[in-house]
Amino acid sequence: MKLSTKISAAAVGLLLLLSQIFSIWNLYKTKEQILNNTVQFEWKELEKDAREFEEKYKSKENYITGERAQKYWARVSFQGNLGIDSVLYYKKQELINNTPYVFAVIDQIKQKTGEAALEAQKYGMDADRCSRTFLEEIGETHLLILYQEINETFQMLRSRDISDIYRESREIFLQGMAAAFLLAFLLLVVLAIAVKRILRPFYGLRDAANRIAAGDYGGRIEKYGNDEVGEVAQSFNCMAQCVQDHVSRMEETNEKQRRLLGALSHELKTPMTGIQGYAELLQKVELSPERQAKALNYIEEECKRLSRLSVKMLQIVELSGEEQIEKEPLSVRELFEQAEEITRHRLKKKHISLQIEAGEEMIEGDRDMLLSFLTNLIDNARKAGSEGSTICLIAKEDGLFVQDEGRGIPKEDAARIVEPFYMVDKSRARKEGGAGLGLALCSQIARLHGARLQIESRMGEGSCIGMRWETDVR
Amino acid sequence: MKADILVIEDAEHINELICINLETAGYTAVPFYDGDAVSEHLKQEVQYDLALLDVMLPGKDGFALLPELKAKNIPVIFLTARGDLASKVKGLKEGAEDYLVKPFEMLELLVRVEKVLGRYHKEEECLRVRDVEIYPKERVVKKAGVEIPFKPMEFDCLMLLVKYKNIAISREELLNHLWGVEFEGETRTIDVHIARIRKKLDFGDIIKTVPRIGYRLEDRK
Repeated sequence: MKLSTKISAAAVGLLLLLSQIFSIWNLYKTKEQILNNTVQFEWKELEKDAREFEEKYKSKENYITGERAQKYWARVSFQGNLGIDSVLYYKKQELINNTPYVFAVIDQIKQKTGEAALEAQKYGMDADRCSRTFLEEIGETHLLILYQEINETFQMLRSRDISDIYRESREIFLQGMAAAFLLAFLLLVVLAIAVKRILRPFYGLRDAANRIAAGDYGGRIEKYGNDEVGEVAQSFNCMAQCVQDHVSRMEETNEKQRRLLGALSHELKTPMTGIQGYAELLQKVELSPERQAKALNYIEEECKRLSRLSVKMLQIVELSGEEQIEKEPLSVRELFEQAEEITRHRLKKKHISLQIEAGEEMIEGDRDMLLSFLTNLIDNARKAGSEGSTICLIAKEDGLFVQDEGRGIPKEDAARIVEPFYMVDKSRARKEGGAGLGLALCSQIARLHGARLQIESRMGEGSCIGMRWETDVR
Repeated sequence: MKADILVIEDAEHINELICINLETAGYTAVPFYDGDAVSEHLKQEVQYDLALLDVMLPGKDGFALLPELKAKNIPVIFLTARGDLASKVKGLKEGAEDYLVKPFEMLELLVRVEKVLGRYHKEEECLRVRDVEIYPKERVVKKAGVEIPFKPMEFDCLMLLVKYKNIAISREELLNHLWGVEFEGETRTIDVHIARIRKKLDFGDIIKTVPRIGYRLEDRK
């Protein structure tokens, strides 16, 4: 069920219930008031009649003796204006009955004299006289019956048909009911429209949420007011923005990893083709001893390259997951000297000399990572440099750099050179045993040391690559 | 006697590997390592029967070289590290005869080379191994001029060994080529066939058993 229907139904139901309770109570009170008034009026009439009868009867009382005469005289006195809708009793025996009913009240009165006194008081009656009020119901007809003892001999009863009061009150009740239902229906319609209007922004909210759920993360709510609904809409937009940013960030990462994986599998294929091919050749063909040695040598070389590649890949994957590293104070000079020791053998082959330009600087960092950073850059410089050139390790206020006199990096490649497996000259890089991962690794190490990789290069003159502190974190 | 094949592939070891494979099977292989050199070479009066062409090359790449090779009427088989459909389709659409995805097996390379060559040249009418002559069209085997009866399966088996002589063929490869890929027969069946061929042709020392691999028909000049 919709919210607008629920609210309308609840409101209308409540209204109907309350209005009915009120109108029933009101009607009951009004009816009681009317009845009271009627009873009082009738009592007055009865008493007036009784007095008149008594006076009339008493004027001749002295001349009358014997029951017969008495009854006769009473009958005469009761006639005329008196006695309409009335009954006269003689010693509690019915004497004259001007009503169309027969009453059997005498027996009841005998039993309830105590109550009668109270009732008489209520209507302002003479309590000494035994009097009584009855409400009788005969089918659809309601009768008001008043009884009074005039004296010991005579009693009088007066009845009045009060069905009209009941009928009218019922009619009023029914009319009220009809009016209440009509009003309730009106209220239902008005409320449904009003609530729908109030809820309209929620429909916008719903549609926007559905759009986002369907994958359109750009879904926003355009119009909203200043009320609570507006606040919700604003929060919703805020949330949608966050979700969109997050999703696009994740997609970016995903895309990056997909590219990395694609590059990796492509990078694996060439050595695999060679290893598989040479192994098959050795198995199936009787080769000359030199060719056999060559094939085995090639298989070994490629396997070594693959293992270097996997080590570097692992390092990159590990480093890219990490955010914090344990740092210790290190002497730059010591670090440079260690890097020189590691690379000395390789550099000697190409007669490349290494220079160190460092003072007594200290830096905070991870020794192994920084060594890996330096040796990677030195290896790159060695591959780029010609026989007999010089590589320079430089420590400055703003970072650590490796300068070479190699061939330089072409401008169009400089931006992509940090990407894993990106090689400026593929076939040459492979010949030198490179995997295209060195700079990707270096940039991760720089990032973890609060620095960024800086690449400056001039074609034919050499390159200067190193880490530059982002802020003063030393 | 056999075809001259251009091998254009920048990775030296792979190039050498392909050349050794082709030479073992009796082809003459001419290696090239970059696109520009091939382009220069083609300007001279040269003729080749087939070119194996890598897509990614220094200098002119494979797609750029394709029209030049076509102009010389040299059929081309693409070598590609990429298994992706787009580059295969592009290569084939632009006139390559076939493609080969790295890493590939020796037999696959040789079969594809042979198929393409077969499309361009007629098959040799007679194959010779020592004093045995084999006529593929007539499916006749003669030893010292005398015809020797061969069952169809035995003949196919012998053909395979003779075509790829000096290269060991595994029992699985023999099964796949003779009975089709789906056949799940016992490799023992092959041994029986080989034994019969050896006996009929007195090839006991020519068809060698290569331990753990299969058989190799050796015929070196």
